[in-house]
Amino acid sequence: MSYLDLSIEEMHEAIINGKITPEELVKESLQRAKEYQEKYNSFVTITEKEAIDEVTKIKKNDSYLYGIPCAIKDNLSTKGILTTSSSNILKDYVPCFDATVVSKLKESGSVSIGKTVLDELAMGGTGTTGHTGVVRNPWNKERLIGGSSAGSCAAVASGIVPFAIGSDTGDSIRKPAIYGGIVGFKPTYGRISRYGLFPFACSLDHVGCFARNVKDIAYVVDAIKGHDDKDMTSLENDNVKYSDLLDGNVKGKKVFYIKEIMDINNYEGETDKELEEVFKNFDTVLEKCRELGMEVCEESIDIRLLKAIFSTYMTISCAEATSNNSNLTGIQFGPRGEGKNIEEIMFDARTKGFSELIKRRFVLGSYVLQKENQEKLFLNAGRIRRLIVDKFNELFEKYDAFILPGSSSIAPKFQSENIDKLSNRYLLLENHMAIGNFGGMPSITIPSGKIDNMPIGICITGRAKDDLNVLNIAYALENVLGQKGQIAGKENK
Amino acid sequence: MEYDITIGLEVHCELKSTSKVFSPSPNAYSEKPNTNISVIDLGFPGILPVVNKESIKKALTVATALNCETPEYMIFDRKNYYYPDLPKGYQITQMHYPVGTNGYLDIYVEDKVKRIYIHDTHLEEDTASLDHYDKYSLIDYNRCGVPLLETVTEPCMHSIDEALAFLESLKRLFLYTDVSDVKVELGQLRCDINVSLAPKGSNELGVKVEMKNIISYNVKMALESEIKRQIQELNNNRAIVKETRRYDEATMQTYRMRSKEEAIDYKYFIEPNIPPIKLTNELKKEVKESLPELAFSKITRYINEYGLSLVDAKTIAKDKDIANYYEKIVTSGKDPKMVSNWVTTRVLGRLSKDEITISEFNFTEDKMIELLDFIESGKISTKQAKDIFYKCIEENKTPKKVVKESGMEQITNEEEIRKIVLEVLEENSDVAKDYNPEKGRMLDFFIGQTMKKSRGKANPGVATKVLKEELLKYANR
Amino acid sequence: MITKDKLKEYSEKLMFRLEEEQYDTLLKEFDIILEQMKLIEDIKEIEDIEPMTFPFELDNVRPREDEKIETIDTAMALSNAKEKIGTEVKVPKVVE
Repeated sequence: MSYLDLSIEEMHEAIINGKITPEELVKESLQRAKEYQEKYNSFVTITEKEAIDEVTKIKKNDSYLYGIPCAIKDNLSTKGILTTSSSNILKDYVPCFDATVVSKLKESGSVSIGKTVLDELAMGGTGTTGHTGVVRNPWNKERLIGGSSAGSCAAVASGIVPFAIGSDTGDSIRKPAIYGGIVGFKPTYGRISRYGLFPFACSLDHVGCFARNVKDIAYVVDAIKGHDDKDMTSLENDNVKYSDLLDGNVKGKKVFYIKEIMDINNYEGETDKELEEVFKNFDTVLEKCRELGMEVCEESIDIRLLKAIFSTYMTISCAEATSNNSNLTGIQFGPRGEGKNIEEIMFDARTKGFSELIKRRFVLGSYVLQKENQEKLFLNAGRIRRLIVDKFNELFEKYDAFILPGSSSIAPKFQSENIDKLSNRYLLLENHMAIGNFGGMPSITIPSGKIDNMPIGICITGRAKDDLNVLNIAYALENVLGQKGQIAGKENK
Repeated sequence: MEYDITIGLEVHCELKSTSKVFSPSPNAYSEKPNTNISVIDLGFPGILPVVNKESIKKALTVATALNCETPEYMIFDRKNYYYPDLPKGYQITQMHYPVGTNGYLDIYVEDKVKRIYIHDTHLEEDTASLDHYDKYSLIDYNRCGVPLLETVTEPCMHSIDEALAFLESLKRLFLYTDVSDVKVELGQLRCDINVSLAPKGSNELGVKVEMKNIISYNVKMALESEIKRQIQELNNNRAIVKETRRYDEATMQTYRMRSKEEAIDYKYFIEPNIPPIKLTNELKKEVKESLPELAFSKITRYINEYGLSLVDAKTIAKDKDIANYYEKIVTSGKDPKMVSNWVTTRVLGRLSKDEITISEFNFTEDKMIELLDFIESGKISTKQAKDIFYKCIEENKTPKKVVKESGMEQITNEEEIRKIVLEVLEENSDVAKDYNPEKGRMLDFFIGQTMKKSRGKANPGVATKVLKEELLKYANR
Repeated sequence: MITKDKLKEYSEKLMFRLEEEQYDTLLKEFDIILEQMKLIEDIKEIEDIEPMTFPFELDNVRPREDEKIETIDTAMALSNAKEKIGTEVKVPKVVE
């Protein structure tokens, strides 16, 4: 057994009791990172030198993260360390400032061992579009891990680090966490500062984390949350430690699932064995909820609203993204384009720097913002967003959370046929997690079972600012679902 | 053919503050490029704007001074376009909910009062500056993020004079409210000008041409040259094209930048990184109450209450500090017209000669009051007062001190003068004996002698009165 | 109607170009996307709703006090710029 396979809590105790030193842990973590790199491609940069340097300098403190190795998504600004956002347009960019979350991790004494691969500029859900190549699923190399926080997820799922930082705009932490069989959490919008997070869509972007159990998530969030004067959207401090308050007592909690999403009849002609298994697994989860003393109800929501989630998400996120990435012109940073005049060099830098997918999304984002389309597309998407959020907030007056399957299948194969983007299966089952981004609600995914030895999971979302409730429900459930703490390719503890 | 001219202005003014509007780097001019910068100004990935409270307050101050409606929340928008002076690729500005809308400013154009309607005024960030060389340009990000207030008028001005008078009044408003130093030479006041010409008497506006980024001192020339150009086009039956033009300082002409077809769609949308900031009633009240009396109101009051001429009233109200200087003296009870004479001639003359501002002037209000006291009490003559004024400035002394040192103070005490008069009569007893009140020249002789004996200090009025009494007594002896 | 030429124009306004066949892909993608957008248009009862920009209302949003100033070292700030002269970023001559 390696201490690196344990939970953060256990690693922490081992460090405190002198059974292992931070240096040993970090070195082993680095060792695994290098060893697995070729197989899974989790990292853009393994920061071996910096990590070893850092671990000798960290000051002993009370944080549970003291001496614990971690990995950071490569769209979080790290001073003096290459940060590429997995895009050619930033392939040589070395920031001169740390993201707030990075500073807080340093303060806690956690040591980052590397920067992880993402879908280029965090715009994608497959983990296949980073400029350094595809990220593979540690449960099965033939399958993708999902994205955009692909490398962070793979690094935790494969046991390189016990936790990693990611970002989530639609489901970019939670979807890969489902495919990787680990826990993914994005807290309430503003709970963790976005300062230093390379923006995809500011009004939907969240910083969050991956770990292999819910309590570890709580330790990590305790260390990185808090008001930040550098982020006007950041929340006031809630002055509690989630890790202290998790008790697994969920008796009397009320949760709901959405009738229209869980009605198998809505997927006529779109079902397969995997979908059936997902539904079966979800029934088991609901049963466990009831056994834990929770009240589970079915709630109906206008299916037109639910089907509009994806286009609402695409409209808003692409619009904000095209503006957010307008700074990438190769002038004050990034590779310089060639050309005779200023227009040409900006043009060349952007033409060479972005992949096709990114360009397509930018064109879409710009299209919905155009004067003649803005009212009908961008602003209407904002209206739908409000309708959806209002509806859920109304339900949250009665309920503590809602619960749904995290995906309609196990992680797809790389060369699998593209899912029909107008199908109910895609629109209802694969994209509902964006609800949590629309309303800035705390949302967590935990593994709930396996199909053909590939993980599947569920998503629990609660009312904004009520992070603890969501974490506690997940904490209670993971203890009865039997998937807690798993590492791909290793026997369950 | 004659034309009706219609002009609208968009005036950009850099606001004062310690730090920039969205970043903590200094809002200060620096000769050294790229020294007053932060990561936020450079638009690095991951930076977030944090709004400066002072900039909000100053913007609200101007909105209030311009009689605008003000919103419940301060909300910003992004204006998206690509240009090397715009590192983020968008400018944070206010489009949907400007800090001020539907306002007006009353101004004097010559001797007429004109109301200029304000479409809106909004807070935004300035761009970087580009230094152009023969073969390349260099980018200095120092100016990036300097708070900028853009004030947009309705197209309601109909002559160059009106436009210039408005610009001057607006500049004065910025100075009065202390939101900006309006250093024109540093480009702190820049305008976009819309101008259109229509046949005289026509009800419709002509085709609008926009001139971009005109430094305030070039506005007159730009307008003159553009109006001249448009008249020529129209007289030659050539249509005016809706377009954007620039003004070239060297040739004093305007040139096409882009046509309407090439107009940029800025794809405005609400800035998601800045949540709405409540403009509380307390803040609005505080801003309103701390608003100083503005130039227009002062001018009107000086004319109506103090009886000043329009020219003098304007001269004094031109500078808030001069106006304050003037008013402090007047409220001490001095005659407004006399004070106005002193201020508009001697004070302003001296300031301009010394090239200083009133705040650097050592002849303070208190000294002026002291000086005017001397004149009023008859202790010194007006002519003497002028000498004392200059002496006070040169030697940085109070009028009291100068008067005392130079012994200039008049003797007004009757008994003291009587002593001198009696001495004069003794010395000239022959003449005095023959005194005849009918013969004025004889009195003049004694006044002259008395003044001589008192070394000019005897108050002539008192001396005359005493002389008349004593001469009568003498003659009757 | 979205055409390939329009898409070219849009991309050029965003300061990049796609390969010829990539515009075909984009055109096809737009068909799907506009189809998906119809799902938004289907919901008619939205006219009076204020478009949502922020996930929820934040009370107590505090602007920054205008007190402290912070700057970044010039050399560090420009360390990522590829072309410089002195302490400024160099670009081809910008003609207004």
